Amino acid sequence: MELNEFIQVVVNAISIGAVYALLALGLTLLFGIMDILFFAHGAMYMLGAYAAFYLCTKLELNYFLSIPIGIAIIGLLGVVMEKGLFRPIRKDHVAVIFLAIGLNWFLESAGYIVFGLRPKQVDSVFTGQLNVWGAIISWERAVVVIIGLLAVVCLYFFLMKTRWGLGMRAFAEDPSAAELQGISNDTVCSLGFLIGCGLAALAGLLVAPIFIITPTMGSHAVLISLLVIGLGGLGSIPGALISAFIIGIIESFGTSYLGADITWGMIFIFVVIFLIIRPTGLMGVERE
Amino acid sequence: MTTEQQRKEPESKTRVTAGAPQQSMIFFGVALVLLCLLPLGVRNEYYLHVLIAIFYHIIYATTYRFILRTGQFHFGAHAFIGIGAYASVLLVMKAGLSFWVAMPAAGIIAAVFAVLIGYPTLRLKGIYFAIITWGFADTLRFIYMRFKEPFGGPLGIFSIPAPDPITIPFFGKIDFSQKSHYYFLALFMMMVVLYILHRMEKSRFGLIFGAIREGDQLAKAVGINIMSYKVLAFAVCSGLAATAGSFYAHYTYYISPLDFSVLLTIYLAIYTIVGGQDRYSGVIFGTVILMLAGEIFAGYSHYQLLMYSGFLILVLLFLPGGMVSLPGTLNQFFTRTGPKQLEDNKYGPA
Repeated sequence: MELNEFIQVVVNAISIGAVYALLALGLTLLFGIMDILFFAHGAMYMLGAYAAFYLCTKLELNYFLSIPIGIAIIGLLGVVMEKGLFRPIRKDHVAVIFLAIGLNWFLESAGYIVFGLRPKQVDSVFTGQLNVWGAIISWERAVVVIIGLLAVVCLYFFLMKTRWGLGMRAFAEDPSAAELQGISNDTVCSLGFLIGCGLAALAGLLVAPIFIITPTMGSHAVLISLLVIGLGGLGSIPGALISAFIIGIIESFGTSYLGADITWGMIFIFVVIFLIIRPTGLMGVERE
Repeated sequence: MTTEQQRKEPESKTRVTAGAPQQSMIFFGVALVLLCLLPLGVRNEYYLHVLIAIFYHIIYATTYRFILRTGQFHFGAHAFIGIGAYASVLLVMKAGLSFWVAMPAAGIIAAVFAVLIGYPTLRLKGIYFAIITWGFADTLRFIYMRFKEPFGGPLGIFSIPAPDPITIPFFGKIDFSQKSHYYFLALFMMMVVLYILHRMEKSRFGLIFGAIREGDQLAKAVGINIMSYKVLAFAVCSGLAATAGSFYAHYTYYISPLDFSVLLTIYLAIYTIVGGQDRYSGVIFGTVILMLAGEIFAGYSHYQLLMYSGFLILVLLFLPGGMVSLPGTLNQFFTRTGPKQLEDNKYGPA
């Protein structure tokens, strides 16, 4: 009984951690490559969840078909935003942050007006439960874990092993030097927004059957992913993965043994103390 | 020749800067007199309410701007406003203190919290500070919601007593039975806060904060203890904002955790950026204009937020100096003079 309970808590921790990792991935990519704290990530996540609702429930498309469609739509929206809004003021970091803040809450309030106040729900595609050494996890959460981990690995290999990824890393290192080597800054930024917003949309589409969809889900997600990438080290993908699971573990154990209300405060205090001791986070690099 | 030029350069600059405060002082004096006389003519409670709301939002926004000006990306202004409101309400309702004691005490409590949070975190650059202040604020909201005793839980605290009656020489007794009494209290508080911030900005502190913002390594190298100044600014501004939060609680008679959500800080950021953060007049102007414009959509908070964030995006893209820089930008646009010529032009945009 004791052991079973423990395994259940660990499985819960992994399933929470995978959602957080997926959420934080796009944010940490945009921060790592472009030094942009993209608050509108939350809005993109919210739009992804609504895309799942409209494509699956309203248009009655196949869930698996609606995932690439949703990602494509929101990724393109990200590229349009980059070209139209962020490019002219890319050099001014403070303005970029405030622009992203404005965008997030613009889209959120627009979401209220367009999508309505009533929370939406998407019917689950995966039914049934999976039994892991006596612990129970529903298939829909297991799919989130699998796809989340897959997305992290794919992104990591994309950045580390491909020419495009090399270009993006060069841009992160020194934009003007990269430009001199023939790496177009504009292309890199567009690509970064495409991938970042696409990942946010993926997170939204995947969690749509699990969570209740409301326009405010984005702001809360941004706060969680900020804590995750802060703990992991801003801009570090492995760091974000590890810290997502650390926060997942704290949340799962705290909820099971101490109560859900105290857990949030505990996570926050843990992150603050950790950042005070080590301001660059788990795997962050000191940067100018 | 060169020495003459060098001597001439600072002189012309001092003349410009010496002229500007005088003008703005006269402007502020006239505005103050008008605002003091206003309740005599305006009996409509709605108008007075809007003005009172504008007054305490100006306190929030100017203190928020001051922290931004120290180079810290503050994202938890609502935390300290909330601390002020809750602390003052609890001191009045549970400890039985007078409002006039509880309000400064709430400011001091918030300042202590600001020191506790600020001292370890202000050394963190940029984004980390935003993460931690936001996380702190949200943790506080969780605490307010979780503990029904004494914070009232998700429903908040209601039937908060009005401030105690006070007798002021030449004014008579003020018992807060009318809106105009609150109006004068809010006006007085706003003037005091603006004066404190103005003095801080114009004094040595202001120069030091300018130095910290422009390059904190250099400031450190010339012997400025950056940390203590940043903590000081953070604590003073948070404390002042908290007194306004205390006023808010006793003015509306009701507070709940929802009043101090992150949207409050977003609004303050929008007021600051849209108005123009380089000058006080910008923040005040932005707050007044946006809050008046927001009254169109009063009760439809989503439309209000949509309009505000739309303004923020437009201003960031087309008017980086904020709305107060609009005359200068227009002037530059139509006369097609370069920035260098404008600087020499005495009658150009101030």
